[in-house]
Amino acid sequence: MVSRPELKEDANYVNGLAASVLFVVLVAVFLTAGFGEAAGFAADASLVAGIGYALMDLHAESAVGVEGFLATFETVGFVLVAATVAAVTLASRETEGDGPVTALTDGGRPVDGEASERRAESGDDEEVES
Amino acid sequence: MVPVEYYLVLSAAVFSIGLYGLLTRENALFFLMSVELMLNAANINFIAFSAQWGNLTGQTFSLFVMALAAAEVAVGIGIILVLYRNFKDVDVTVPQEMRW
Repeated sequence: MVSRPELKEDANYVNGLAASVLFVVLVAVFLTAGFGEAAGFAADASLVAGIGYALMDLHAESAVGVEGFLATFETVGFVLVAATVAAVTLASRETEGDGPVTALTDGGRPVDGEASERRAESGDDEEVES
Repeated sequence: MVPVEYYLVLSAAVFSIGLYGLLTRENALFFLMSVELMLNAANINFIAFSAQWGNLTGQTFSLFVMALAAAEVAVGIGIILVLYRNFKDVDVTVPQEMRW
């Protein structure tokens, strides 16, 4: 059977309209603002070297105008490490215990404190009963 | 040289597509992609104005935006994994509370 993508006919068109109106407004503002002629960069200027100098706070060495960004560079590095640790912490499967994920969730089961404690004490659970 | 308005119109189009995806999609992965589109629209603006003023600050800043987008996606995918583990679904309309 040949299948093809079909238009979703029960879609909510308000969302598309909102995005389209935003696009039209933005374009109208941009095209009427008048930004003047672009300054551009010198043909022999090394932009990559300029970015490298900016990241190391050596912007006085750069032939192209730029500011120092060493503090930002270090902060972004710290944020990346924090995000990596957060991602690994969230993704690591907690079998049982006091991990942050199981502390926040209960494995998707409804939290009924007394009932689960009773089950744990008596040693039987739903599978045994059924 | 290409006028800066062209870049701005492209950026507005990319941003609007990202916004539309954010408003219509229910899959959390598509949410992340839409946010990525909106961040890249901002990057286009940074680089366009970097060339407009002949200053490298915009290009440097777009590098930082890319790094922050990567960090955001890393945390976002971790959250999606927990979401899937708990709800067997990545539909963002299913979880209604911060704690379940």
